[in-house]
Formats: sequence, C-alpha cells, structure tokens
Amino acid sequence: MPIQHRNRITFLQILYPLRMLLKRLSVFLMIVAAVMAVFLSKSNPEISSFFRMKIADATVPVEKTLSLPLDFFSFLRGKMAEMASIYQENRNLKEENAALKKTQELSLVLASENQNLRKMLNFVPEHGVKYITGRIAAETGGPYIRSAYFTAGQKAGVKKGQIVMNEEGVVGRIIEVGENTSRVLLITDINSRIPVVTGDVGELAIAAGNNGSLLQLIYLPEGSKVKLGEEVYTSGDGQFFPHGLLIGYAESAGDKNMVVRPAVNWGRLVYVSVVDYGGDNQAPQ
Amino acid sequence: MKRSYYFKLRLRLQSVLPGVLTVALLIAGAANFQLPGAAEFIPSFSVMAIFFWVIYAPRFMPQWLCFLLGILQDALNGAVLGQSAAINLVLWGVIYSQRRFLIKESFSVLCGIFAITSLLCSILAWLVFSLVNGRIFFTPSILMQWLFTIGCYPLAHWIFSNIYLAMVRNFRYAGWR
Repeated sequence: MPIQHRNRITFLQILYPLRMLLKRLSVFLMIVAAVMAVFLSKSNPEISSFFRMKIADATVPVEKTLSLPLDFFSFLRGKMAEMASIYQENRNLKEENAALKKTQELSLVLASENQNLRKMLNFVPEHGVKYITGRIAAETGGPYIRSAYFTAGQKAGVKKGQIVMNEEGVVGRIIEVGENTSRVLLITDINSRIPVVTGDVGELAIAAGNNGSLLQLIYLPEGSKVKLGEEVYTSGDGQFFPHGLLIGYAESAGDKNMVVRPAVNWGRLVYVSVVDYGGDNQAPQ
Repeated sequence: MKRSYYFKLRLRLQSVLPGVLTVALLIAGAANFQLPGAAEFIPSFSVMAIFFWVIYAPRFMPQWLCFLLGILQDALNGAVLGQSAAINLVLWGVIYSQRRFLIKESFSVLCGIFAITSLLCSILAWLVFSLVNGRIFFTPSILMQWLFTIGCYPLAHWIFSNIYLAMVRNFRYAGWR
C-alpha cells in the first residue's frame, strides 16, 4: 500500500505562527499606526487638512440633507414666537420707525458731506466687498473643538482666512477649504483670539474663546470702565479681522476678567456669509 | 443545501451592517440640529458600537474598522487625525480581552460596565486632546457628553441586539458559523 503524504507542509503552514503572531499583535500595531497618524497630522497639517476636507466633501452633502427637515421646525418655532409677541413688537416697530426716519435724514446729510470731503481729498476707494452665502451643514467638534462645515468651498471662491458672518455678527473664520466645503473655526473655540475694541469706552482687548458659550476679554487694561451690555467690535489689529465688526455684548461691568456674550445666536445658525474683501484674501486694516 | 447567489450576497451585506450603521450614526450626529450647544452633547456613537459588537460579535467590528471609524470621527470633528483611532483601538483591546466574562453579564451589569468604560474613554480622550494641543483645559460639556452617552446606551443596545439577533438567525439558516 503506497504511503500517503496527507500532512504535506505547505508554505502557508510555515507562515502560520507568523500569521498568529501578527493577529495577536494587530491591535498593538494599529495603535502604533494611529499614534503615527497623530504625529504626521501635527507635523504636516496640510496632509491632515487634505484628508479631512476630502472626507468633508463626501459627508457634508449628507449632513446638509439631514438638517433640511429641521428648517421647517425652526420656521414654525420662529413663527410661534413671533405670534406671541406680535402686539408688543408692533408698538416697538412704530417707535423704532420714527427714530429711524430721523436717523435717515441725518445720514443723508452726512453721506452728501462725506462725498464732498472725499472729492476734496482725492480719496481712492477700497476694493468692493463680496459675499458668498451658504449653509452651515454640520456643527462639529464635541466638547473639544468649536467648528462648523460651510457648504461652499474653493469652487465658490472661498479662501482660508476669510471672515464668516451672519446678520447678527461675526461667526468665525475659514481655516480649511475643500472643493465644495470649508471649515469655519467659531469665535468660541479655545484657539480663537480676536483683537477687539469696546463700543463706548474704546478699550482695546483680546476676545478669547474657551469652548464655552461666552468669550473672555483678556489683556483688558486695569481699571477699565466697560459698561454692562456695551457692544464689542473687532479692532482691526492683527491681520484677519477688519475694524468694526460686531462680536458681542459685555456681560459684566468694569471687571478685569470680563466676559462677552457673542451676538450670534448659535441655535439659529443656518445661513451665513463668507466675506471676501478682495486683494490677497486679507481683511482691510 | 445550495443557497442562491443573492442569498449569499444578502448575508455578506448584513455582515457589514454594524460598520455601516456606526458610520451613518457618526455622520448624522455631526449634522446641524439648530439647537444651541447640540454639537457638544452628541453621544459618542463609536464607543457604544465598539462596546456592543466586540462583546457579542467581534468579527463584525474588526480592529481596522475601529481605526477607520476613529479617522472618520476626527475628520468630522476637525480634530488631529488619529487620536480617536487610538482611543477606539485601546477600547477594542480592553473589551476583547474581557469579552469572555462580559458576554455572560446581565443587561443592567453591562450598562454599569459601559458607564465606567465610557468614562475612562472620555478621560483618555481629554488626556490625548490636552497632550496633542499642549494645554490642559476642562469644560463641563465633557461630563455632559459622557452622561448623554450612558443615557443613550440602553436604546443603542436594544437596536444593536435586534440587528444582531436577526443576523444570527439568517446566518444559522444558511449554515454559516
């Protein structure tokens, strides 16, 4: 009877211990790969940004579609709130209208005076400001990062560093740009620092985000006389924000470590505009 | 018994369902809900999914999938790529090493263990974030997110269990192990 070599050793069987070792070590090897990815992302932010925006270009349309039905509920909520205060609002609007008529007359006089003075000084006008309006499709970051994805990117002319605003005030600034999406660093993020000036007193400070709902005013001079509810604007110092954009309102008076409530209502943050000041993507000083 | 091609395809598609569902939850969780502060409190779907699937069916939640889920999570959050992947893999390793004991536990005990595990994950995420950014900061929303995560786990467990049982029934019917 011929001897049958049933237990022939194959190449795969030789490699079996190695395969088992790799299987056992796979979690450890993958953790090493993840740590290496962190180092790579930190040392080459461009690579990290490229991958992030590629993923965002693919996922943001889905997130945008998911948030569309919420518009209806948001609209209903707004309408119900309006109905509740319609009489009071009507009275306020009438008073406001009378005050605005007076302001309009004054501003017409000032505009004509301004035009005459510009002619006398041979003033060269600045670049025209353009707006790119889109939607906030995703608000991301969990407890650690305050950022949002905006539904316009390179194709629409969005560039890194541009300012994002809505009708209420400054929302943030563009930090990453993809083909059809871009990422906005919100003013409340821990890495956000904006040079500001207070409206009435004119104190200079830095509005710093702390991942909470309020901003902290740092480097405010000692003995500052900032009043409660005073408006806080961008000061135009630094290279990103022009002068005079509304950031928020002072929440306490005179303190050295004062906080500012952002003018933007984060719960109603849907449509925003990226402000293009022309030139080399820099805000005018 | 010979099964049709479509039946086999259906089983294959079912086996990727846990991964697809977790990806869908991560993407849906990042959508703009027009609620102030909603983004801070969105529960950690990846921790819930990894905890459940590694205990009951680790073949549907392999290490490479945890790695990819972490990368997706970081991309959606705008974080440094790789930090969530590392946390997911540590969680995978810990749960996988204890699954023989965990699989026997009752639902209420599992919920308690999940609360401790997700707290450890939150602490680890906070440490990694502080280390990567070179600064230590604390915000109450870290604790809020943890509370939301443990509050949502029973519902997630119920959904995942139903999917798992349906899959097991189909797989047994097909004679697959």
